[in-house]
Amino acid sequence: MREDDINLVQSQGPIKKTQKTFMGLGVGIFGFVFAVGAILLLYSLFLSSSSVTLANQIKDIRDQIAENAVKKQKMLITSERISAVKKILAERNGAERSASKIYSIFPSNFTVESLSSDGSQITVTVTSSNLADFASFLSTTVPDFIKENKGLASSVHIDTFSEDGGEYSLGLTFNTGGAVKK
Amino acid sequence: MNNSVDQLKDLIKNYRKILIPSLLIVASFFIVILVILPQITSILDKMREITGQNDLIAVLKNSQKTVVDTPDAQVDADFDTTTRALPVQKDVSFVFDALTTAAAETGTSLDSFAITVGGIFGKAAETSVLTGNPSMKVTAHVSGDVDSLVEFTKILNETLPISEISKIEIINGEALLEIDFYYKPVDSSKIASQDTVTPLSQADKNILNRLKDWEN
Repeated sequence: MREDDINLVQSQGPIKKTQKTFMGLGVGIFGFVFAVGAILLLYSLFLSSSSVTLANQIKDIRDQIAENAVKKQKMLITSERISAVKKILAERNGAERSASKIYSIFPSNFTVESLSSDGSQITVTVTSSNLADFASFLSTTVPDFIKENKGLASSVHIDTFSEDGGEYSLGLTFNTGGAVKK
Repeated sequence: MNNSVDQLKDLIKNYRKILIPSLLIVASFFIVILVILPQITSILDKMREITGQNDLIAVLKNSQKTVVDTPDAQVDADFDTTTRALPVQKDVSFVFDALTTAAAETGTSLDSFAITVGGIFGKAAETSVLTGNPSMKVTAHVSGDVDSLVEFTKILNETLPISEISKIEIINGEALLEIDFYYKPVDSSKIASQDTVTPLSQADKNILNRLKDWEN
């Protein structure tokens, strides 16, 4: 072979190596993917079987509870009603409680002529023949009551004060704001 | 025809070492797309389902234990008290009982009472009655001294069925009271579909005891 001859026959060694690597890679990827797929498939089947077992267990427990269906129903209704009662009691305006509390501050020598409550305010009309009692009531009893029962009455207004034949009449409005809860 | 088949065979023979791994990689790709990804989604769904089932089993077992462990007599007594506190429907006899009991205990006289009957009918009304706390409006005329009339309102508020006095007007020994008597229909479908039965909490028991006191 002369020095300027070109060898056109390529060496087969590197090509074979590349092909082998490619084959190994292909088989390796396929094997791995196949194995993962198979494992996932088996795991999925296992989960399906577990789910069916659990569903049967749920059915069994439900059947057992169904044997006491009436008792269960009564307990659920009781629970539901207790929740409803709790809500109603918390939201009750307490009109009777505030009326009763306010009524109790009037001394026994006062005659309560009228008392009305609509949940947000209580209006009371009292009469007495002793003017001094009114002075003491308005200067001491009412301010003390407001101080001690801030949640019950936020303010008190004197609506009327009149005298008729020696009998004095006082009209008061207690603003409760409907805030009294039981 | 035979010529082209031969050509294809030759082609496959010549490129076999590239073709086989290529096909395996393509197959792997399809396995990932068609098997692995759907299985992952399915497994996640099933795991969620199993978690839900396990939770439900725990709830059902607790419910079953609660139902079995609670004495029948107590269940019946509690049920009676709560349905007395909130009757299942508008019941005039309960209203009458409550008013006459309060009148008897306070020495007042129940002169008259009127019930506002009515309301809307239909599915919407039915739903709101089942979900809320409906009430029946009653106007009562009671007579007696002011002390007794005020006491009447207190007693009525602690008498079953549960009521709320919305308006009090006492003038010259005559009281006009506007009272809402509550009731609560049973939502059968909701009750039937409910699995959770929990024992009464201490707060529930306190309410129940309060109702029992008011019942007597």
